[in-house]
Amino acid sequence: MDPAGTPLGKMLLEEITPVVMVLRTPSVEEACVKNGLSFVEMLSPFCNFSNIDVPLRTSSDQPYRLHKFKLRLFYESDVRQPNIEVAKERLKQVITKAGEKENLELISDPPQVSNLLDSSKSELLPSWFEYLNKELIRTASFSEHETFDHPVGCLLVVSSKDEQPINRFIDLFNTNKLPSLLNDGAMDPKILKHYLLVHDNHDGSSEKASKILSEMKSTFGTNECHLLCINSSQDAKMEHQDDPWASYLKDLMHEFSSKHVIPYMEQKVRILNQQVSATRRGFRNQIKNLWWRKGKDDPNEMPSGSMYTFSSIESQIRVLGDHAFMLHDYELALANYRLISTDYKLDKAWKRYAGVQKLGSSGQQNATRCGLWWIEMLKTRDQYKEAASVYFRICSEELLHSAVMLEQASYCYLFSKPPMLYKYGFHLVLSGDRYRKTDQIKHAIRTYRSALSVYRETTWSYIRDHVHFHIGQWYALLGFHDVAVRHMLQVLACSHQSKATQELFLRDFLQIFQVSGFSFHGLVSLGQMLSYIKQFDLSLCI
Amino acid sequence: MATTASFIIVSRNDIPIYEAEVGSATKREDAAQLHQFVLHAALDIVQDLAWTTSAMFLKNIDRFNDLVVSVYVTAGHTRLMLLHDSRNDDGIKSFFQEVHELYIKVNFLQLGCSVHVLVFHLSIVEKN
Repeated sequence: MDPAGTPLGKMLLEEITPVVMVLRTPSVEEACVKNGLSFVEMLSPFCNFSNIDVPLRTSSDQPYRLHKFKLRLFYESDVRQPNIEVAKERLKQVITKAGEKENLELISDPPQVSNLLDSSKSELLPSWFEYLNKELIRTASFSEHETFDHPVGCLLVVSSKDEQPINRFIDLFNTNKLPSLLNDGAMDPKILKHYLLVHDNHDGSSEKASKILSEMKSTFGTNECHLLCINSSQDAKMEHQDDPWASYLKDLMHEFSSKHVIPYMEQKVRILNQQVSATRRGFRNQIKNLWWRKGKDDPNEMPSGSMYTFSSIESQIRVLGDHAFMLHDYELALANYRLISTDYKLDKAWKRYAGVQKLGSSGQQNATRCGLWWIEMLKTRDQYKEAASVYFRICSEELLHSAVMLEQASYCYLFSKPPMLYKYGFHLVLSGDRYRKTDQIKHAIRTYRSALSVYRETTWSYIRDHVHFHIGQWYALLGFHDVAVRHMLQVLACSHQSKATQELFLRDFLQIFQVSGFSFHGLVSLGQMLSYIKQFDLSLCI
Repeated sequence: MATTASFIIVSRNDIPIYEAEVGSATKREDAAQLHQFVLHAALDIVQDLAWTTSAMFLKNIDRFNDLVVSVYVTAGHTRLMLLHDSRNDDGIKSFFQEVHELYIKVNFLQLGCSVHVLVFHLSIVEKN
């Protein structure tokens, strides 16, 4: 089955692709900047292949051909987790901005349940969820934990204008400047290395460049070195389609991918597969011990806090699974992922895989990322109820994050077959409560208002009081006193509540009513109001 | 050990007929609303399950943090729901059965409703 057709499949194919790290000298970057692009921007369009057509043989003896393939290029400075605080702040801004809805909608009556059920998903779901989820996934990139972000290879790029180019190549792979991923044992630092000499024809003939290329080949190997000639235009921008030398770029990346990266990964898969198979017999007991040990104090653990080294069995299986996945051998990938979670209830395997307990906040990000993918998988299979429970599970102490996850969970309940309206309402209330705690009042109103579709006329007294009272308070906070009063009126007949609560309700109602004063357009007749108050304990009357 | 337990009888139209906090722990202000929310939401799960089984006692059908929901569905589709934090399946099952008996008796005797409701209430609290 080719998963590429499903929305989930497309997303995974876009994101779980091999990473190639790019190390380059400033002169290289200068040459590209002349054309208005960075080096990575220049090459990236040529790294996406719709039909690379490379034969492969991974686990079984059955060869197959790889068609779709993509490389993700990153500078070494980007092969690190995005700064968590910066990312959090950005997400907060996205959410706040999304809350700046049309006020008219915020104060209008919530839709009837029948309308809700008739509406399409795209009509109901807030549009910013998708962007937010993608950002959350992005902030979890390049952790030690997830091996498919670890670079499989590296492009070292030097310009023909650089002095002593061979030395520059060696300097580039200076361990001090490399990402910590390569140095702290999270991944095997022995990765595929490829040497690229960039020559700008604009600067003169390529004779000097060819000489350097020969020197490179004798130092680093014939097949590992390439010359890339570019033509800087007199003016700024470069156009990929029309430019004749674009084909050189295309050929270069095609050759790099098909003759170097893919065979390298194929080889790695074959070797790892042999190693893993050899240890598989006693493996179940071994991994059991591994898991249980991690739960207690493990004296063999690396002092840096890294969960495992790349040579551990656990790591090898992950790398094998991820490489197999990226080479589209899904059977082999799945077999290995299952190996890690075999024998364990989904709950425990889930926690361990996400490493939540060990890695603190970055573990939470990983859990979020894993969760969001798992959710997409479940949604594709129409398993909305299960998706909702995963959203619930990836909530954390981080309140704003939880608010959004709970809201997304509520929609899953709405979309399940049959729809679970009470669960929908409940999770909206849970979400709104957290929005309020993070001062996102508009979002709090938005979610409680949606919940009112379900709870508007409910006979469950405490539920009714809670929703109307709080949304009334919040409307009042934003200055919508008419609407606030309307909701407050709903809670006045509350003899089931404690005396303290009744006093609170009455006091707040009167406060808001006073402020609304003459703007209260007699939406409720005085008689009606009095009949509400009549139901009070008389001792509360002023 | 102080236990939390919230009991509610829900009609076939999802309207609460009777409510009582039957746990031994002291009643908290905000607990009542949370309990109602959780029990109310659990109705969706009961609805789902009711079609798949003819059993009346459905234990631990839903949970929220430490609280678990167990349900007893009568022939008339009235639901006796208990929100609890302790694990006492047999105790809970017999509790439901006894309440069910009482409930039938109370319904049968239509006259003097309020007196019977009071007696009913006292019996429930005692049963716990």
